[in-house]
Parts: sequence; C-alpha cells; structure tokens
Amino acid sequence: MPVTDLVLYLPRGDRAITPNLIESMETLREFFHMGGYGFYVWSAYGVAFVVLVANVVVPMLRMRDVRARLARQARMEEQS
Amino acid sequence: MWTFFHKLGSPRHFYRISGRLLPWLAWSTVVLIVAGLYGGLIEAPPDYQQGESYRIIFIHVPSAWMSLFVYMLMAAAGAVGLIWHIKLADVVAAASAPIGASFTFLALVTGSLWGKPMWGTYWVWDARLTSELVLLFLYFGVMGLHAAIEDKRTASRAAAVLALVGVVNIPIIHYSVEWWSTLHQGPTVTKVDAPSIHLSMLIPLLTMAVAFKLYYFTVLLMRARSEVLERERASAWVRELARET
Repeated sequence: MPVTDLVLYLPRGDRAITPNLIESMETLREFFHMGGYGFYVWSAYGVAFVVLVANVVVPMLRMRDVRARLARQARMEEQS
Repeated sequence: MWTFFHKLGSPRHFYRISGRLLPWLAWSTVVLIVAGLYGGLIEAPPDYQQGESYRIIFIHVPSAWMSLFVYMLMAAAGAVGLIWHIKLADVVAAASAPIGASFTFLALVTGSLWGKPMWGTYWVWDARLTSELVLLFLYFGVMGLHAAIEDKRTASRAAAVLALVGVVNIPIIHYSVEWWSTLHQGPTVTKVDAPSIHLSMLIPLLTMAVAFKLYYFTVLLMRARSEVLERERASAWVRELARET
C-alpha cells in the first residue's frame, strides 16, 4: 500500500499539513535512494565522514595526552 | 623583515600564532563544508548521463586535489628542513603525511565507488588510478620512515629525500589522462580552457575544494602543535605552559 493511501486514514483537520508531509517523506526517500545509486553515494560520503572525523579526533587525543604528560612531569619536578 | 621569518621558524611563536588561528580555520571549514554539501547534494541538479551518482564528485575531486597539494607541501617542507635545518619545517612535513595519505585513500575509495556503477568496475590499472595508488604508497613510505627511525632529525631527512624523489609522480598523476588513454576521464577544471562543467555543479565543487584546504590547515596545525610541545618540552616556555595546566 503506497504512502499516499495514509492520507485517507488521517483526520480531516490535518489535511492541510499531510500532503506536504507526504511530499517531504517522498523527497527524503528519494534523497536516500539517490536515483538507484544510494549504496555508492552514501558509502562514499560515509567513508569520507569517518576519515575526516578521525583526522580531527586523533590529533585532539594526542594533544590531550601530551599536555597531561607535561603537566605530570612539571608536578614531579616541583616536588623534587 | 628577516626577524619576521626568523620568528616564524620559532616553535614558541608558531605555537602561539597557530593557537589564535585555529578557531578561525576550524569554523570556516565547517561553514564551507555545510555550504558545499548543501550546494552539491540538494541544490545541484542530477546529471543527464550519470543521474545522482555523480554527486560523489563533491568528495572525490577535492580529495584528489588535496592528495596532490598536501604532497607538494610535504615535499617543500621536507626540502626546507633538509637545506636550512629548520625544525618546524620537519614538523610540518611529518604532520602532513598522514593527512595527505587520508586524502589519497579517500580519492581512491570514492573513485572506486563511483567507478562501479559508472564504469562497471571498482578498479582498473589505468594510468590515473595506478599513479594515485603509487602516491598512497609514497605517503606510507614517508610515514613508515618517521615511525621506524628513532632520531627525529634523521627520520625527517630520510623522509624528505623520499618525498622529493616522489615529486615526479605528481605531474604524472596530473597529466596521466592526457598522456595515456585512460578509463578515467580527462581534465574538466584544471586545464587551460573554460571549465566544461555546469556552474551549479562547479560552485559546490570549488566550495568543497576550499573547505578541504582549510580543513587540511586546521588539522595540520593541530598535529604540529602537539609535536612542537613534545619536541620543545625541555624549553622554558613549554615548562611554563605545563605548570599552568
């Protein structure tokens, strides 16, 4: 049963909103479907996302470790 | 004037200035990526031949351009370190390698995912793809040398030599589609002619290209900063910084 059939089962008062909602859902579905190439397009963007995020997270963690180590060393030197 | 360049080579000044630049670089990267993705995924129309699959271009081409750009920068920084023994140049070269490798990897993978629906294959040993793969191996070589050699100066020297020898690959990659008959298409933007791509697609493409450049500088500075802190840990300014934390 196509999505448009849902319109018949919704209360009258919402008629003004629902056609647009259906259209937006259709557009969203098409967006994910990417004309049949969804797997390729979204895999590509997915890999890109992972790689770009990793290249930000790794240096952040490294900086945190370096600063922690330096702070620890500074504290040890102060004590001695 | 000389003092300006001399200061630029100073790790302490680099740390301070890069710290101030970072938020600007980071935020402009984010804004441009969002703008580029909106333009590419939502605004731009489907291609009359490739339909929606062409949208991979907005990741693939900027990644490929960056893979070459970062390599040139890495080689140049390596040369500066080799000739003038400027530590910061070595740091920039070392920090650039994994980022460049990431872009090369992305170019190859997104290209592969684009090739499967369009060409019918994930891979082909044509000149463009093969030379880009060699670029990835060169990056791995540079990273491997840094990892394998204990003394940082020696490691940087060896890596710089490798990077410089590998520079020959860059024009090979770029002209491969002109010099050989390749499955990969010829130049659309980087040629001595008007770009043969529609403006609605060109603008998000260039936006993403700039965004990726800003991204590279952002991430480069992040990596370089921690490297600088570590290398200069014995110096007064780093100790001061460590005490403040």
